[in-house]
Amino acid sequence: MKKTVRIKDLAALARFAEGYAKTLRPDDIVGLVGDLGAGKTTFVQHLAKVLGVKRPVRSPTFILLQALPTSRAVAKRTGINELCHIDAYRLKNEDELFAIGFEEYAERDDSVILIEWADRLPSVQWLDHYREIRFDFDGEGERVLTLNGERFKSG
Amino acid sequence: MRILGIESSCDESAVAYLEISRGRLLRLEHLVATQAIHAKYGGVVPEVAAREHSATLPLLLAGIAEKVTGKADGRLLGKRVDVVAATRGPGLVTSLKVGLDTGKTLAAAWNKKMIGVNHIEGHIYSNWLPGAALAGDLGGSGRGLFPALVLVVSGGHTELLLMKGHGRYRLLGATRDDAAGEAFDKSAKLMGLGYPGGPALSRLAADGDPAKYDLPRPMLRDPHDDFSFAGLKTAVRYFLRDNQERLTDPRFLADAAASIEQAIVDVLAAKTIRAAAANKVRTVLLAGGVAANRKLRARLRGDVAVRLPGVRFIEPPLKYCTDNAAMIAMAGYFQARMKKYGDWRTMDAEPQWELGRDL
Repeated sequence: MKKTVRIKDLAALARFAEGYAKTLRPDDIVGLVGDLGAGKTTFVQHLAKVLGVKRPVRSPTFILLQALPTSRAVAKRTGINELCHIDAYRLKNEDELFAIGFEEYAERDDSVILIEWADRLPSVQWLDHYREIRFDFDGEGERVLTLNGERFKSG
Repeated sequence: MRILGIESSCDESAVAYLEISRGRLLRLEHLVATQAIHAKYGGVVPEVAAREHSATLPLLLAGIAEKVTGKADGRLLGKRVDVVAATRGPGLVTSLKVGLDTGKTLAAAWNKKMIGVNHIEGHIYSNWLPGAALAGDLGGSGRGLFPALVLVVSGGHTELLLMKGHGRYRLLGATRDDAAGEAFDKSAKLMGLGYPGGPALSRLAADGDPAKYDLPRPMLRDPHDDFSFAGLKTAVRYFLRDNQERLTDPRFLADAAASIEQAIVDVLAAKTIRAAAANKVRTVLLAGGVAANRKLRARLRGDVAVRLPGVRFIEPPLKYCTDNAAMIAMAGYFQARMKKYGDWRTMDAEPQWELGRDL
């Protein structure tokens, strides 16, 4: 199932992130796919804010992986203790993902993994609980977000 | 005091040996991982950062031992070391652990003092290494120097720190998204110069007109010490899209590169001068990989001279701007002078250690 959302400015991206945060479960792996400057890190910043992350959320391109603890209240309510923010931009192959400690987070069921440039890691997309947001430009200065692999509430 | 320095926080593995006596530098040996060292001691060059560090550090240690003692013998090296200083953070946890665990093991085996160095503090102390203006200032308390404002700029960091004395910092501001070096690298990528292409962008910019295109200067006039470069990246993206047909024109590329560089340098310089004036500092220090950028150096040198009379501007030697272990050993020396030793039994890597904020 695919779903698209039009985002006309940064405020709209913030609102979208707020809604998206509510759909997260503590074992999700979210791939963020889109070109440089598409808004992937900005999306994570908004998401982190909603989930009570106190630490500054910066681009993880250089550091590759950063752990972002959520607030205690959010952890209690959602079961999400940590966001694991990964950037695959500098990774040369999938082995490197495991070399930076991805597995440790993937096996946990109290954290959400957010992977920028997940399209560089094809096998990640086959993991359970993988969902994806694709960030595209529409040519008019607006962004189009395509959501893939969403889990829909049963019943 | 004789210090062994070890650095492995990101992509570079490095080992250094520093000897300082009565405030005078007697010896500095320094090795960064190269193909040559692998060839000499029979190593291979693997891909992944952490694995690369664990394959490379023993070879670098052998190389340093040979330089210092004449033999690639760790036991002999141990007899010539008083303190082991290894980078403890910030950085990638798997990479950090390799260097830190190596340092801890050596400190334990040799029964030496151990210091876990902050990587950013290491960059700052590159300003005390040979070739820098402060290279002779190793013995005193740094009188006349502090308070100092430090601009740290690299691929992973953009920070303004108030340095009140040796080892005393307050974080004034930092980037809220991309680092300045990342803004260079990603703009270069958008221009088709490869990644990381910051230095290539700067070379191209040398022949361009920096006033040709008007790009945003995020947070330039905001009354705080934080930075933001993500918006500039997106602006560069739109700008290049609107000029697609000119991407093969060398004139256009040079002007675009110069304009991008100017936007980044303008923000870094303006915020640095503002913070320096607001905090009434005596010195402005530059540090980090992007400190090698000639335009940034020249701009800060000029702005400090014109706008902050009486304030000294100090820049690190070009060869010590990128990650290295000499700067870690030097930071370790100043920590050791203050007897700020750590305990190798309990010390762990601190991947998100911010200088100026307590652990």
